[in-house]
Amino acid sequence: MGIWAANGDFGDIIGFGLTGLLVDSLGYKWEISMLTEGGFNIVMALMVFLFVSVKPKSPEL
Amino acid sequence: MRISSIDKWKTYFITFFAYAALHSMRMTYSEIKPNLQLAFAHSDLFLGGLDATVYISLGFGFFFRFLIQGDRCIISTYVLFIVVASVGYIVIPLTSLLVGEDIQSHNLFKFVLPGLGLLLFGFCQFGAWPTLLSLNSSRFNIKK
Repeated sequence: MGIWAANGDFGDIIGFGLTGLLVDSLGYKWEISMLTEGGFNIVMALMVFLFVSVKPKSPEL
Repeated sequence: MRISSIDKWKTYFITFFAYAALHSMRMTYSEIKPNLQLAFAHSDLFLGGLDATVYISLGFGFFFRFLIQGDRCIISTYVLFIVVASVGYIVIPLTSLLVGEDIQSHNLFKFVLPGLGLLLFGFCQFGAWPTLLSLNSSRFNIKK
């Protein structure tokens, strides 16, 4: 759980790194960087919706 | 209660990256702010106002979270609010890409859409907290 709690810092690194890569290194417009992050967030929300249930599943015997 | 190991770790990684994705949006917004100011020709004062809008609306979102969902863990509410937050965020680059140079001459594109977009982005972030934490901790913090 301690490692899980680092998700915010990990996200900051990803956001900083991805924007640096797309805008500064690859020369894409800044809009592409924001669209990528927004799209990534929607995809992750859909993944939670599709693959995570509120009640934990027991192992099948 | 025994919990499937696959379910446990699947939830761990999905909720980890879902929350990380939210934080990465905040960081990206901070980093591209000079580009945003250049494209929209915002004054320093208005840009500061946009920053304040995000964090004040974030505070209001967390305050009203209790009225909307309380301590319940509702995945559909989480998805709804996070998608709305993302759409609010995406409005800004879409406006810039679609409208182009005309942004600076229309108040709707220059002030209203970025303001509303960031207001939604800030307010709706409460959807992730503490839903994702509850989902994850329900797999790990179980007394035997």
